[in-house]
Amino acid sequence: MKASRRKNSVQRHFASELIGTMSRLFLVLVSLHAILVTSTDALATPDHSQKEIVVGKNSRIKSIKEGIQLAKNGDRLVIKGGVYAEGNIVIDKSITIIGEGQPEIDGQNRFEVFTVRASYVTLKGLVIKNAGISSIHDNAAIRIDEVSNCTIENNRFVHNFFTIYSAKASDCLLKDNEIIGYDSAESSSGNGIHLWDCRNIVISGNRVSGQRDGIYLEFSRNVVIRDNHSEKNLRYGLHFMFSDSCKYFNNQFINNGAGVAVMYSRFVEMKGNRFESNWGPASFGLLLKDIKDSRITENYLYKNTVGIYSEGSTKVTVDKNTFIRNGLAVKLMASSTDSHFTGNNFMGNSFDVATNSSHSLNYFESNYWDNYKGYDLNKDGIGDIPFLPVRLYSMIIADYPPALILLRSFFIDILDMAERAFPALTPETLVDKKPLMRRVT
Amino acid sequence: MGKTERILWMILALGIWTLLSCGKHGPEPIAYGKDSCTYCRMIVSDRKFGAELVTSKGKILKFDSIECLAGYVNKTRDINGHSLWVVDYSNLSKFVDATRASYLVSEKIHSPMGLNISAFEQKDVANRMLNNYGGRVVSWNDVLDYVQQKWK
Repeated sequence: MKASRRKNSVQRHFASELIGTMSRLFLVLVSLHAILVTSTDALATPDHSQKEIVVGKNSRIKSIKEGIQLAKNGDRLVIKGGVYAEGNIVIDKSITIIGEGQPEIDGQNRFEVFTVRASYVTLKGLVIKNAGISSIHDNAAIRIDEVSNCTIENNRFVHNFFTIYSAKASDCLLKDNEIIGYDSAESSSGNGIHLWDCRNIVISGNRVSGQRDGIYLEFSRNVVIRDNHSEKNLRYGLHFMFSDSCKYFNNQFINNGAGVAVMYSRFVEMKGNRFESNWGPASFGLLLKDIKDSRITENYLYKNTVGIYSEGSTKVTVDKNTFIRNGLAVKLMASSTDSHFTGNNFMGNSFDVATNSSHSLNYFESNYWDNYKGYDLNKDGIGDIPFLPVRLYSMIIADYPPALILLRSFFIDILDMAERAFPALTPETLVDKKPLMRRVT
Repeated sequence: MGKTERILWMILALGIWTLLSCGKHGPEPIAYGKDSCTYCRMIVSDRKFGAELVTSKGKILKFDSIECLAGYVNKTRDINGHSLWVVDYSNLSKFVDATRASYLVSEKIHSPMGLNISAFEQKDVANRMLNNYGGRVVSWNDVLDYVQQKWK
Protein backbone atom coordinates (compact mmCIF):
# COMPACT_ATOMS: atom_id res chain seq x y z
CA MET A 1 0.00 0.00 0.00
CA LYS A 2 2.66 2.35 0.95
CA ALA A 3 4.58 1.57 -2.23
CA SER A 4 1.66 2.33 -4.51
CA ARG A 5 0.92 5.59 -2.67
CA ARG A 6 4.54 6.61 -3.09
CA LYS A 7 4.31 5.71 -6.74
CA ASN A 8 1.18 7.83 -7.10
CA SER A 9 2.76 10.80 -5.42
CA VAL A 10 5.84 10.44 -7.60
CA GLN A 11 3.65 10.34 -10.65
CA ARG A 12 1.72 13.41 -9.55
CA HIS A 13 4.94 15.24 -8.81
CA PHE A 14 6.28 14.33 -12.20
CA ALA A 15 3.07 15.40 -13.87
CA SER A 16 3.05 18.80 -12.20
CA GLU A 17 6.68 19.33 -13.07
CA LEU A 18 5.85 18.51 -16.69
CA ILE A 19 2.94 20.91 -16.72
CA GLY A 20 5.16 23.58 -15.21
CA THR A 21 7.86 23.28 -17.82
CA MET A 22 5.34 22.99 -20.62
CA SER A 23 3.63 26.19 -19.61
CA ARG A 24 6.94 27.96 -19.21
CA LEU A 25 7.93 26.74 -22.66
CA PHE A 26 4.61 27.91 -24.00
CA LEU A 27 5.11 31.37 -22.55
CA VAL A 28 8.59 31.56 -24.04
CA LEU A 29 7.31 30.53 -27.44
CA VAL A 30 4.46 33.02 -27.40
CA SER A 31 6.73 35.90 -26.48
CA LEU A 32 9.28 34.84 -29.06
CA HIS A 33 6.58 34.78 -31.71
CA ALA A 34 5.38 38.21 -30.63
CA ILE A 35 8.89 39.61 -30.94
CA LEU A 36 9.44 38.07 -34.35
CA VAL A 37 6.12 39.30 -35.72
CA THR A 38 6.68 42.85 -34.68
CA SER A 39 10.27 42.95 -35.91
CA THR A 40 9.51 41.46 -39.34
CA ASP A 41 6.68 43.91 -39.70
CA ALA A 42 9.28 46.62 -39.67
CA LEU A 43 11.31 44.82 -42.39
CA ALA A 44 8.32 43.91 -44.56
CA THR A 45 8.38 45.17 -48.17
CA PRO A 46 6.16 48.19 -48.22
CA ASP A 47 2.69 47.29 -49.27
CA HIS A 48 1.77 49.35 -46.41
CA SER A 49 2.61 52.79 -47.69
CA GLN A 50 2.98 53.06 -51.47
CA LYS A 51 4.01 56.65 -51.83
CA GLU A 52 3.57 58.71 -54.93
CA ILE A 53 6.32 61.23 -55.60
CA VAL A 54 5.72 63.93 -58.17
CA VAL A 55 8.63 65.40 -60.10
CA GLY A 56 8.08 68.54 -62.16
CA LYS A 57 9.04 72.11 -62.77
CA ASN A 58 6.16 73.23 -60.54
CA SER A 59 6.74 70.65 -57.83
CA ARG A 60 8.93 70.70 -54.82
CA ILE A 61 11.07 68.01 -56.42
CA LYS A 62 12.49 69.29 -59.69
CA SER A 63 14.86 66.56 -60.81
CA ILE A 64 14.30 62.90 -61.58
CA LYS A 65 17.47 61.91 -59.75
CA GLU A 66 16.18 63.58 -56.60
CA GLY A 67 12.82 61.89 -57.00
CA ILE A 68 14.50 58.50 -57.23
CA GLN A 69 16.67 59.25 -54.23
CA LEU A 70 13.61 59.98 -52.10
CA ALA A 71 11.68 56.93 -53.33
CA LYS A 72 11.52 53.56 -51.67
CA ASN A 73 10.77 50.13 -53.10
CA GLY A 74 7.17 49.95 -54.31
CA ASP A 75 6.74 53.71 -54.73
CA ARG A 76 5.41 55.48 -57.78
CA LEU A 77 7.29 58.35 -59.37
CA VAL A 78 5.22 60.64 -61.59
CA ILE A 79 7.16 62.90 -63.92
CA LYS A 80 5.20 65.87 -65.20
CA GLY A 81 5.58 67.35 -68.69
CA GLY A 82 8.68 69.42 -69.38
CA VAL A 83 12.27 68.94 -70.44
CA TYR A 84 14.72 67.29 -68.06
CA ALA A 85 18.36 67.54 -69.11
CA GLU A 86 19.60 64.71 -66.94
CA GLY A 87 21.90 61.83 -67.83
CA ASN A 88 23.18 58.69 -66.12
CA ILE A 89 19.99 58.37 -64.06
CA VAL A 90 20.45 55.14 -62.13
CA ILE A 91 17.29 53.40 -60.95
CA ASP A 92 18.36 51.23 -58.05
CA LYS A 93 14.96 50.72 -56.42
CA SER A 94 11.91 48.73 -57.46
CA ILE A 95 9.74 51.66 -58.50
CA THR A 96 7.26 52.57 -61.20
CA ILE A 97 8.03 55.70 -63.20
CA ILE A 98 5.12 57.20 -65.13
CA GLY A 99 5.27 60.23 -67.40
CA GLU A 100 2.25 62.55 -67.40
CA GLY A 101 2.18 65.05 -70.22
CA GLN A 102 5.01 63.60 -72.33
CA PRO A 103 8.00 64.66 -70.24
CA GLU A 104 11.22 64.75 -72.27
CA ILE A 105 14.39 63.38 -70.76
CA ASP A 106 17.40 64.57 -72.73
CA GLY A 107 20.77 62.78 -72.69
CA GLN A 108 22.30 65.83 -74.44
CA ASN A 109 24.26 63.57 -76.83
CA ARG A 110 26.68 62.82 -74.03
CA PHE A 111 25.14 60.35 -71.61
CA GLU A 112 23.27 57.15 -71.17
CA VAL A 113 19.90 58.28 -69.91
CA PHE A 114 18.37 55.60 -67.63
CA THR A 115 20.29 52.67 -66.16
CA VAL A 116 18.01 50.17 -64.44
CA ARG A 117 19.83 48.30 -61.71
CA ALA A 118 16.86 46.98 -59.74
CA SER A 119 14.24 44.39 -60.59
CA TYR A 120 10.51 45.14 -60.76
CA VAL A 121 10.99 48.52 -62.38
CA THR A 122 8.43 49.98 -64.79
CA LEU A 123 8.95 52.92 -67.13
CA LYS A 124 5.90 54.27 -68.94
CA GLY A 125 4.83 57.31 -70.90
CA LEU A 126 8.23 58.96 -71.20
CA VAL A 127 9.95 60.67 -74.13
CA ILE A 128 13.67 59.89 -74.04
CA LYS A 129 16.17 61.36 -76.45
CA ASN A 130 19.80 61.99 -77.34
CA ALA A 131 21.59 59.15 -75.58
CA GLY A 132 25.21 59.91 -76.50
CA ILE A 133 27.15 58.31 -79.33
CA SER A 134 30.40 56.76 -78.15
CA SER A 135 32.97 54.44 -79.64
CA ILE A 136 33.56 52.70 -76.31
CA HIS A 137 30.30 52.82 -74.34
CA ASP A 138 27.08 51.46 -75.71
CA ASN A 139 25.07 54.36 -74.27
CA ALA A 140 21.34 53.67 -74.29
CA ALA A 141 18.16 55.59 -73.66
CA ILE A 142 17.29 52.79 -71.22
CA ARG A 143 19.75 50.11 -70.15
CA ILE A 144 18.44 47.12 -68.21
CA ASP A 145 21.43 45.76 -66.36
CA GLU A 146 21.34 42.23 -64.93
CA VAL A 147 17.90 42.46 -63.35
CA SER A 148 14.48 40.91 -63.92
CA ASN A 149 10.78 41.64 -64.20
CA CYS A 150 11.04 45.09 -65.72
CA THR A 151 8.50 46.69 -68.04
CA ILE A 152 9.24 49.35 -70.62
CA GLU A 153 5.92 50.34 -72.12
CA ASN A 154 4.43 53.08 -74.25
CA ASN A 155 7.45 55.34 -74.39
CA ARG A 156 8.76 57.40 -77.26
CA PHE A 157 12.47 57.34 -78.08
CA VAL A 158 14.10 59.81 -80.45
CA HIS A 159 17.69 60.04 -81.70
CA ASN A 160 19.39 57.76 -79.26
CA PHE A 161 22.59 55.81 -79.89
CA PHE A 162 21.23 52.54 -78.54
CA THR A 163 17.62 52.78 -77.48
CA ILE A 164 16.75 49.84 -75.21
CA TYR A 165 19.83 47.80 -74.24
CA SER A 166 19.14 44.76 -72.12
CA ALA A 167 22.13 42.89 -70.73
CA LYS A 168 21.79 39.63 -68.75
CA ALA A 169 18.17 40.40 -67.93
CA SER A 170 15.20 38.06 -67.62
CA ASP A 171 11.40 38.10 -67.54
CA CYS A 172 11.03 41.59 -68.96
CA LEU A 173 8.40 43.16 -71.21
CA LEU A 174 9.17 45.74 -73.90
CA LYS A 175 5.83 46.81 -75.30
CA ASP A 176 4.28 49.42 -77.60
CA ASN A 177 7.26 51.75 -77.73
CA GLU A 178 8.08 54.03 -80.61
CA ILE A 179 11.77 54.20 -81.55
CA ILE A 180 13.24 56.65 -84.02
CA GLY A 181 17.00 56.56 -84.57
CA TYR A 182 19.42 59.06 -86.08
CA ASP A 183 19.29 57.43 -89.49
CA SER A 184 22.93 58.40 -90.14
CA ALA A 185 26.05 56.38 -90.86
CA GLU A 186 26.14 52.86 -89.52
CA SER A 187 29.23 53.47 -87.46
CA SER A 188 27.49 56.11 -85.40
CA SER A 189 24.22 54.26 -84.92
CA GLY A 190 23.35 51.72 -82.28
CA ASN A 191 20.53 49.20 -82.31
CA GLY A 192 16.90 49.93 -81.48
CA ILE A 193 16.29 47.02 -79.15
CA HIS A 194 19.42 45.14 -78.17
CA LEU A 195 19.39 41.96 -76.08
CA TRP A 196 22.56 40.32 -74.86
CA ASP A 197 22.48 37.14 -72.80
CA CYS A 198 18.81 37.53 -71.80
CA ARG A 199 16.06 35.03 -70.98
CA ASN A 200 12.28 35.12 -71.24
CA ILE A 201 11.81 38.54 -72.75
CA VAL A 202 8.66 39.62 -74.62
CA ILE A 203 9.10 42.30 -77.27
CA SER A 204 5.75 43.28 -78.72
CA GLY A 205 4.02 46.06 -80.60
CA ASN A 206 7.07 48.28 -80.98
CA ARG A 207 7.89 50.47 -83.97
CA VAL A 208 11.59 50.88 -84.79
CA SER A 209 13.27 52.86 -87.54
CA GLY A 210 16.49 54.70 -88.29
CA GLN A 211 18.73 52.59 -86.07
CA ARG A 212 21.52 50.26 -87.17
CA ASP A 213 19.63 47.03 -86.46
CA GLY A 214 15.98 47.46 -85.52
CA ILE A 215 15.93 44.47 -83.16
CA TYR A 216 19.13 42.62 -82.22
CA LEU A 217 19.56 39.48 -80.11
CA GLU A 218 22.75 37.81 -79.05
CA PHE A 219 23.15 34.75 -76.80
CA SER A 220 19.55 35.00 -75.60
CA ARG A 221 16.88 32.37 -75.18
CA ASN A 222 13.10 32.02 -74.97
CA VAL A 223 12.46 35.46 -76.36
CA VAL A 224 9.11 36.18 -78.05
CA ILE A 225 9.10 38.93 -80.65
CA ARG A 226 5.64 39.74 -81.99
CA ASP A 227 3.64 42.42 -83.76
CA ASN A 228 6.59 44.75 -84.17
CA HIS A 229 7.18 47.02 -87.13
CA SER A 230 10.83 47.45 -88.10
CA GLU A 231 11.36 49.69 -91.09
CA LYS A 232 14.13 51.73 -92.73
CA ASN A 233 16.89 50.72 -90.40
CA LEU A 234 20.40 51.08 -91.74
CA ARG A 235 21.37 47.44 -91.60
CA TYR A 236 18.99 44.69 -90.45
CA GLY A 237 15.34 44.98 -89.46
CA LEU A 238 15.94 41.92 -87.28
CA HIS A 239 19.29 40.36 -86.51
CA PHE A 240 19.96 37.54 -84.12
CA MET A 241 22.82 35.16 -83.42
CA PHE A 242 23.43 32.29 -81.04
CA SER A 243 19.90 32.62 -79.69
CA ASP A 244 18.00 29.36 -79.46
CA SER A 245 14.32 28.71 -78.94
CA CYS A 246 13.10 32.18 -79.81
CA LYS A 247 9.83 32.91 -81.58
CA TYR A 248 8.98 35.64 -84.09
CA PHE A 249 5.29 36.16 -84.93
CA ASN A 250 3.45 38.65 -87.10
CA ASN A 251 6.19 41.24 -87.41
CA GLN A 252 6.84 43.47 -90.40
CA PHE A 253 10.37 44.02 -91.68
CA ILE A 254 10.22 46.56 -94.45
CA ASN A 255 12.86 48.31 -96.50
CA ASN A 256 15.79 47.76 -94.18
CA GLY A 257 19.28 48.29 -95.60
CA ALA A 258 20.19 44.63 -95.61
CA GLY A 259 16.89 42.95 -94.77
CA VAL A 260 16.79 40.37 -91.98
CA ALA A 261 19.67 38.11 -90.94
CA VAL A 262 19.35 35.21 -88.57
CA MET A 263 22.37 33.12 -87.70
CA TYR A 264 23.86 30.32 -85.66
CA SER A 265 20.66 29.49 -83.78
CA ARG A 266 18.44 26.48 -83.23
CA PHE A 267 14.74 25.85 -82.62
CA VAL A 268 13.74 29.11 -84.23
CA GLU A 269 10.12 29.68 -85.15
CA MET A 270 9.19 32.45 -87.58
CA LYS A 271 5.51 32.68 -88.40
CA GLY A 272 3.27 35.20 -90.08
CA ASN A 273 5.93 37.84 -90.68
CA ARG A 274 6.26 40.16 -93.66
CA PHE A 275 9.63 40.67 -95.32
CA GLU A 276 9.27 43.43 -97.87
CA SER A 277 11.23 45.70 -100.16
CA ASN A 278 14.77 44.76 -99.24
CA TRP A 279 16.80 45.63 -102.30
CA GLY A 280 20.53 45.51 -102.87
CA PRO A 281 23.41 43.16 -103.63
CA ALA A 282 23.88 42.25 -99.97
CA SER A 283 20.25 42.62 -98.97
CA PHE A 284 18.05 39.63 -98.21
CA GLY A 285 14.41 39.28 -97.26
CA LEU A 286 15.58 36.59 -94.84
CA LEU A 287 19.16 35.38 -94.52
CA LEU A 288 19.40 31.99 -92.81
CA LYS A 289 22.97 31.26 -91.81
CA ASP A 290 23.71 28.10 -89.83
CA ILE A 291 20.13 27.77 -88.60
CA LYS A 292 19.08 24.31 -87.39
CA ASP A 293 15.88 22.52 -86.40
CA SER A 294 13.70 25.51 -87.20
CA ARG A 295 10.46 26.42 -88.89
CA ILE A 296 9.72 29.27 -91.27
CA THR A 297 5.98 29.26 -91.95
CA GLU A 298 3.15 31.47 -93.25
CA ASN A 299 5.45 34.39 -93.97
CA TYR A 300 5.09 36.84 -96.81
CA LEU A 301 8.19 37.73 -98.84
CA TYR A 302 7.51 40.48 -101.29
CA LYS A 303 9.74 42.52 -103.57
CA ASN A 304 13.12 41.52 -102.22
CA THR A 305 16.25 41.08 -104.32
CA VAL A 306 16.54 37.65 -102.71
CA GLY A 307 13.62 36.26 -100.71
CA ILE A 308 15.31 33.61 -98.59
CA TYR A 309 19.06 32.98 -98.72
CA SER A 310 20.06 29.79 -96.96
CA GLU A 311 23.66 28.88 -96.16
CA GLY A 312 24.88 26.20 -93.77
CA SER A 313 21.35 25.59 -92.49
CA THR A 314 20.01 22.14 -91.75
CA LYS A 315 16.62 20.63 -90.84
CA VAL A 316 14.68 23.78 -91.59
CA THR A 317 11.03 23.46 -92.60
CA VAL A 318 9.92 26.24 -94.94
CA ASP A 319 6.22 25.81 -95.46
CA LYS A 320 3.11 27.78 -96.43
CA ASN A 321 5.04 30.95 -97.23
CA THR A 322 4.25 33.22 -100.14
CA PHE A 323 7.07 34.54 -102.35
CA ILE A 324 5.81 37.32 -104.62
CA ARG A 325 7.76 39.48 -107.06
CA ASN A 326 11.18 38.84 -105.66
CA GLY A 327 14.25 38.96 -107.87
CA LEU A 328 15.19 35.49 -106.67
CA ALA A 329 12.74 33.74 -104.35
CA VAL A 330 15.05 31.17 -102.76
CA LYS A 331 18.82 30.97 -102.97
CA LEU A 332 19.93 27.69 -101.54
CA MET A 333 23.65 27.15 -101.07
CA ALA A 334 25.24 23.70 -101.16
CA SER A 335 26.16 23.97 -97.50
CA SER A 336 22.49 23.76 -96.51
CA THR A 337 21.02 20.30 -96.18
CA ASP A 338 17.84 18.56 -95.15
CA SER A 339 15.58 21.57 -95.56
CA HIS A 340 11.98 20.97 -96.60
CA PHE A 341 10.06 23.41 -98.76
CA THR A 342 6.36 22.51 -98.94
CA GLY A 343 3.07 24.26 -99.53
CA ASN A 344 4.70 27.54 -100.57
CA ASN A 345 3.43 29.89 -103.28
CA PHE A 346 5.95 31.16 -105.80
CA MET A 347 4.42 33.92 -107.92
CA GLY A 348 5.90 36.60 -110.11
CA ASN A 349 9.53 35.98 -109.11
CA SER A 350 12.18 36.53 -111.77
CA PHE A 351 13.89 33.38 -110.56
CA ASP A 352 12.26 30.85 -108.31
CA VAL A 353 15.20 28.88 -106.98
CA ALA A 354 18.94 29.23 -107.51
CA THR A 355 21.65 27.07 -106.06
CA ASN A 356 25.39 26.59 -106.32
CA SER A 357 25.31 22.84 -105.87
CA SER A 358 25.06 20.13 -108.45
CA HIS A 359 23.58 17.78 -105.90
CA SER A 360 21.02 19.25 -103.60
CA LEU A 361 20.18 17.46 -100.38
CA ASN A 362 17.10 19.56 -99.79
CA TYR A 363 13.49 18.75 -100.63
CA PHE A 364 10.81 20.59 -102.49
CA GLU A 365 7.34 19.10 -102.54
CA SER A 366 3.81 20.26 -103.19
CA ASN A 367 4.54 23.92 -103.81
CA TYR A 368 2.66 26.16 -106.20
CA TRP A 369 4.88 27.59 -108.94
CA ASP A 370 3.40 30.08 -111.37
CA ASN A 371 6.12 29.17 -113.86
CA TYR A 372 4.94 25.58 -113.93
CA LYS A 373 3.73 24.75 -117.38
CA GLY A 374 2.70 21.15 -116.79
CA TYR A 375 -0.74 19.54 -116.99
CA ASP A 376 -3.02 17.63 -114.66
CA LEU A 377 -4.92 14.99 -116.56
CA ASN A 378 -6.29 13.09 -113.58
CA LYS A 379 -7.52 16.35 -112.00
CA ASP A 380 -6.14 15.61 -108.55
CA GLY A 381 -4.78 19.13 -108.19
CA ILE A 382 -1.22 17.87 -108.51
CA GLY A 383 0.77 18.28 -111.73
CA ASP A 384 1.50 15.08 -113.60
CA ILE A 385 5.10 15.91 -114.42
CA PRO A 386 7.71 17.14 -111.96
CA PHE A 387 8.87 20.77 -111.91
CA LEU A 388 12.52 21.75 -111.83
CA PRO A 389 12.60 25.23 -110.33
CA VAL A 390 16.23 25.99 -111.06
CA ARG A 391 16.69 27.68 -114.40
CA LEU A 392 19.88 27.09 -116.32
CA TYR A 393 19.90 30.83 -116.87
CA SER A 394 20.28 31.47 -113.12
CA MET A 395 23.50 29.48 -113.15
CA ILE A 396 24.78 31.48 -116.12
CA ILE A 397 24.21 34.83 -114.45
CA ALA A 398 25.73 33.56 -111.19
CA ASP A 399 28.98 33.15 -113.09
CA TYR A 400 28.54 36.08 -115.44
CA PRO A 401 26.21 38.75 -114.03
CA PRO A 402 26.18 40.99 -117.12
CA ALA A 403 24.21 38.23 -118.88
CA LEU A 404 21.22 39.55 -116.94
CA ILE A 405 20.61 41.89 -119.83
CA LEU A 406 19.13 38.92 -121.68
CA LEU A 407 16.52 38.30 -118.98
CA ARG A 408 13.43 38.84 -121.11
CA SER A 409 14.89 37.77 -124.42
CA PHE A 410 13.55 35.12 -126.74
CA PHE A 411 16.90 33.36 -126.66
CA ILE A 412 16.62 32.73 -122.94
CA ASP A 413 13.06 31.42 -123.31
CA ILE A 414 14.35 28.86 -125.78
CA LEU A 415 17.22 27.99 -123.44
CA ASP A 416 14.72 27.41 -120.62
CA MET A 417 12.53 25.23 -122.80
CA ALA A 418 15.48 23.15 -123.95
CA GLU A 419 16.71 22.68 -120.40
CA ARG A 420 13.24 21.67 -119.23
CA ALA A 421 12.96 19.11 -121.97
CA PHE A 422 16.43 17.68 -121.45
CA PRO A 423 17.81 18.69 -118.03
CA ALA A 424 21.54 18.45 -118.41
CA LEU A 425 23.18 21.10 -116.29
CA THR A 426 20.67 21.97 -113.59
CA PRO A 427 20.67 19.72 -110.53
CA GLU A 428 18.15 16.97 -111.12
CA THR A 429 17.78 16.30 -107.42
CA LEU A 430 16.34 19.76 -106.90
CA VAL A 431 12.86 18.94 -108.11
CA ASP A 432 9.26 19.27 -106.98
CA LYS A 433 7.67 15.98 -107.88
CA LYS A 434 4.17 17.05 -106.87
CA PRO A 435 3.74 20.65 -107.97
CA LEU A 436 0.34 22.08 -107.15
CA MET A 437 -1.97 23.29 -109.89
CA ARG A 438 -3.57 25.94 -107.73
CA ARG A 439 -2.38 28.48 -105.18
CA VAL A 440 -2.24 27.50 -101.54
CA THR A 441 -4.60 29.73 -99.58
CA MET B 1 63.39 58.00 -133.86
CA GLY B 2 62.28 55.68 -136.63
CA LYS B 3 58.80 54.24 -136.76
CA THR B 4 59.80 50.69 -135.72
CA GLU B 5 61.92 52.01 -132.84
CA ARG B 6 58.98 54.01 -131.47
CA ILE B 7 56.73 50.95 -131.62
CA LEU B 8 59.33 48.86 -129.82
CA TRP B 9 59.64 51.45 -127.04
CA MET B 10 55.87 51.56 -126.66
CA ILE B 11 55.69 47.79 -126.36
CA LEU B 12 58.48 47.88 -123.77
CA ALA B 13 56.72 50.58 -121.80
CA LEU B 14 53.45 48.62 -121.92
CA GLY B 15 55.30 45.51 -120.81
CA ILE B 16 56.87 47.24 -117.83
CA TRP B 17 53.56 48.80 -116.87
CA THR B 18 51.75 45.42 -116.84
CA LEU B 19 54.58 43.82 -114.89
CA LEU B 20 54.41 46.59 -112.32
CA SER B 21 50.83 45.65 -111.51
CA CYS B 22 51.99 42.17 -110.51
CA GLY B 23 53.94 41.71 -107.33
CA LYS B 24 53.12 42.06 -103.66
CA HIS B 25 49.51 42.91 -103.08
CA GLY B 26 48.31 44.71 -100.01
CA PRO B 27 44.94 45.17 -98.39
CA GLU B 28 42.47 47.66 -99.76
CA PRO B 29 40.14 49.77 -97.64
CA ILE B 30 36.90 48.14 -96.59
CA ALA B 31 33.72 49.87 -97.72
CA TYR B 32 31.90 49.80 -94.38
CA GLY B 33 28.17 49.46 -94.82
CA LYS B 34 28.58 47.90 -98.26
CA ASP B 35 31.00 44.98 -98.21
CA SER B 36 29.81 41.73 -96.70
CA CYS B 37 31.86 39.28 -94.68
CA THR B 38 33.06 36.26 -96.63
CA TYR B 39 32.60 33.97 -93.63
CA CYS B 40 29.32 34.95 -92.01
CA ARG B 41 27.74 37.07 -94.76
CA MET B 42 26.94 40.02 -92.51
CA ILE B 43 27.59 43.50 -93.74
CA VAL B 44 30.86 44.82 -92.38
CA SER B 45 29.89 47.84 -90.36
CA ASP B 46 32.15 48.18 -87.32
CA ARG B 47 35.37 49.95 -88.24
CA LYS B 48 37.15 48.72 -85.15
CA PHE B 49 37.11 45.03 -86.13
CA GLY B 50 37.58 44.84 -89.91
CA ALA B 51 39.85 42.14 -91.32
CA GLU B 52 41.06 41.05 -94.75
CA LEU B 53 42.69 38.14 -96.48
CA VAL B 54 44.66 38.88 -99.66
CA THR B 55 45.31 35.75 -101.71
CA SER B 56 48.54 35.08 -103.53
CA LYS B 57 46.76 36.08 -106.74
CA GLY B 58 45.63 39.42 -105.34
CA LYS B 59 41.98 38.53 -104.67
CA ILE B 60 40.69 40.26 -101.57
CA LEU B 61 38.33 38.66 -99.08
CA LYS B 62 36.82 40.88 -96.40
CA PHE B 63 35.63 39.98 -92.92
CA ASP B 64 33.55 41.84 -90.39
CA SER B 65 35.50 40.59 -87.37
CA ILE B 66 38.79 38.99 -86.39
CA GLU B 67 37.01 35.81 -85.33
CA CYS B 68 35.50 35.47 -88.81
CA LEU B 69 38.94 35.77 -90.40
CA ALA B 70 40.24 33.16 -87.95
CA GLY B 71 37.25 30.93 -88.63
CA TYR B 72 37.91 31.15 -92.35
CA VAL B 73 41.61 30.39 -91.91
CA ASN B 74 40.79 27.41 -89.71
CA LYS B 75 38.33 26.08 -92.27
CA THR B 76 40.57 26.64 -95.29
CA ARG B 77 43.80 25.50 -93.64
CA ASP B 78 46.03 26.13 -96.64
CA ILE B 79 46.86 29.80 -96.71
CA ASN B 80 50.24 29.67 -98.40
CA GLY B 81 51.13 32.89 -100.10
CA HIS B 82 48.11 34.66 -98.67
CA SER B 83 48.48 37.63 -96.35
CA LEU B 84 46.19 38.29 -93.40
CA TRP B 85 45.33 41.78 -92.22
CA VAL B 86 43.46 43.17 -89.24
CA VAL B 87 42.44 46.68 -88.25
CA ASP B 88 44.36 48.12 -85.30
CA TYR B 89 41.72 48.94 -82.66
CA SER B 90 43.80 51.87 -81.42
CA ASN B 91 44.45 53.27 -84.90
CA LEU B 92 41.53 52.59 -87.18
CA SER B 93 43.15 53.84 -90.36
CA LYS B 94 45.77 51.12 -90.33
CA PHE B 95 45.83 47.52 -91.46
CA VAL B 96 48.29 45.40 -89.53
CA ASP B 97 49.78 42.00 -90.36
CA ALA B 98 47.51 39.66 -88.46
CA THR B 99 50.22 37.12 -87.70
CA ARG B 100 52.29 39.75 -85.91
CA ALA B 101 49.61 41.64 -84.04
CA SER B 102 48.66 41.29 -80.39
CA TYR B 103 45.08 40.50 -79.48
CA LEU B 104 42.95 41.39 -76.48
CA VAL B 105 40.14 39.03 -75.57
CA SER B 106 37.91 40.92 -73.16
CA GLU B 107 34.27 40.74 -72.16
CA LYS B 108 34.15 44.52 -72.00
CA ILE B 109 34.91 44.96 -75.71
CA HIS B 110 32.15 43.43 -77.81
CA SER B 111 33.15 42.31 -81.29
CA PRO B 112 30.58 41.65 -84.05
CA MET B 113 30.48 37.87 -83.75
CA GLY B 114 30.55 37.67 -79.99
CA LEU B 115 34.08 36.40 -79.31
CA ASN B 116 35.25 39.82 -78.11
CA ILE B 117 38.61 39.89 -79.88
CA SER B 118 40.33 43.16 -80.78
CA ALA B 119 43.71 43.65 -82.50
CA PHE B 120 46.67 45.91 -81.70
CA GLU B 121 49.88 46.50 -83.59
CA GLN B 122 51.81 47.40 -80.44
CA LYS B 123 51.81 44.91 -77.61
CA ASP B 124 52.16 47.60 -74.94
CA VAL B 125 49.02 49.31 -76.21
CA ALA B 126 47.26 45.97 -75.85
CA ASN B 127 48.59 45.65 -72.32
CA ARG B 128 47.33 49.12 -71.45
CA MET B 129 43.89 48.15 -72.70
CA LEU B 130 44.19 44.98 -70.62
CA ASN B 131 44.69 47.10 -67.51
CA ASN B 132 41.60 49.14 -68.27
CA TYR B 133 39.25 46.43 -69.48
CA GLY B 134 40.51 43.12 -68.17
CA GLY B 135 40.65 39.86 -70.10
CA ARG B 136 43.84 38.53 -71.62
CA VAL B 137 46.38 39.41 -74.33
CA VAL B 138 47.19 36.63 -76.80
CA SER B 139 48.94 35.99 -80.11
CA TRP B 140 47.48 35.14 -83.53
CA ASN B 141 47.98 31.41 -83.06
CA ASP B 142 46.14 31.60 -79.74
CA VAL B 143 43.29 33.37 -81.54
CA LEU B 144 43.13 30.57 -84.12
CA ASP B 145 42.96 27.95 -81.35
CA TYR B 146 40.39 29.91 -79.39
CA VAL B 147 38.09 30.37 -82.37
CA GLN B 148 38.55 26.73 -83.37
CA GLN B 149 37.53 25.65 -79.93
CA LYS B 150 34.58 28.03 -79.63
CA TRP B 151 33.17 27.33 -83.08
CA LYS B 152 33.62 23.59 -83.30
